[in-house]
Amino acid sequence: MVTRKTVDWFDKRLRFKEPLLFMMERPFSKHATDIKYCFGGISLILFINQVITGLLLSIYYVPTPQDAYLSIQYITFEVSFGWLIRAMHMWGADLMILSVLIHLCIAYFKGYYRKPLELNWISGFTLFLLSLGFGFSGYLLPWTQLSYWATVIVTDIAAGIPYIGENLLLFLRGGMTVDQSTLIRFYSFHTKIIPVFSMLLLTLHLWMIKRRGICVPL
Amino acid sequence: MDEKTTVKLVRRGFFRVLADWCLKFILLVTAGGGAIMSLSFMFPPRKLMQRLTGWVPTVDNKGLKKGEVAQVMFNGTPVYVLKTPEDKLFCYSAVCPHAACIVQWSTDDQHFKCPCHESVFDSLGNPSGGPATEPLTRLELKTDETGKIFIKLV
Ligand code: FES
Repeated sequence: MVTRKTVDWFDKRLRFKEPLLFMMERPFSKHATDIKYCFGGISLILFINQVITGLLLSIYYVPTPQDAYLSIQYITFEVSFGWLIRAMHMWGADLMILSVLIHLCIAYFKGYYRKPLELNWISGFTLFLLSLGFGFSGYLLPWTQLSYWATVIVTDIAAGIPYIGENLLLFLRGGMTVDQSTLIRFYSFHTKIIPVFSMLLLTLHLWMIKRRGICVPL
Repeated sequence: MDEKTTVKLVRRGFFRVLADWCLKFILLVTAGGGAIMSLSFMFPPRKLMQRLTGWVPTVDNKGLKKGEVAQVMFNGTPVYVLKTPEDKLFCYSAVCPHAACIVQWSTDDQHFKCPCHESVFDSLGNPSGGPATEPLTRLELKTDETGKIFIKLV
């Protein structure tokens, strides 16, 4: 068959079949239909949704104080399906935080931080913090009164931490006030720095499950 | 066909097959719809391609100081509305007739200057220095009773 031959031709060069089959084979756990154990997968799907809609939004979004709000208006009212993509990104963000939180609570109360799951727990908790970072940095980007003052307040709270507060404030704001330097900084965090780290951690998080097998609930 | 391999479609089996196909259909529609949606999102709105023509409103006459210009954007290129010290109004396209750079108004010496090859134009739009030989493109202009300045785009 032609397709078989083509696949073999590529497999000879890329050697992709074996790892691909490994990634695709899924022993069906009897817990897979239990809603309690679905929140990891739901979080993953929502994360993929955030990546796709986020990439699309970044085509039109302009991270400057003059244009941020205008570009969001443009996306919402002018670009075709812009309102939908934006709403998907916004609601997806809230839902992702929610489902990550539920996932975390279940893992915590079921004791899924015990051997051999320590690293899953640690990477998972870091991922939770990163998703909060996503939410925090993304909140400023529309550059509305609400998001502006929310950022002022939250960074002010951060400044209250003893010893490191002042430096933390400078790090978050990129200056003394919330302005252009804060906006571009948050944009970079939201669309570049946090995504890179969370994708690395996510790969690790899933890789461990795949290598070790899904644990039977304790 | 061998008797044993015939699948007997009982009611439960029928609904399972139906559910299976419904799921496949939903997945397909979602994937297809998502792809079409994303693609059409990536193309800028058609509106942008329409050219604006005819009389269009710009700035208020009162808001414009003598010897200064107001810059307005139409169809992707800037246009200057100039009020001379003698209280005369002119409107020019900001596109330099030499090689299409955008000229800037200098309030100090009351001339348009081009940053690219340093052509200079006086307040009537005529070239007075540099490589440009043509004047700036003049646009027709009128003021209505409320003092709003309209210009005619062609
Ligand atoms: S383009 Fe203006 S002087 Fe050459």
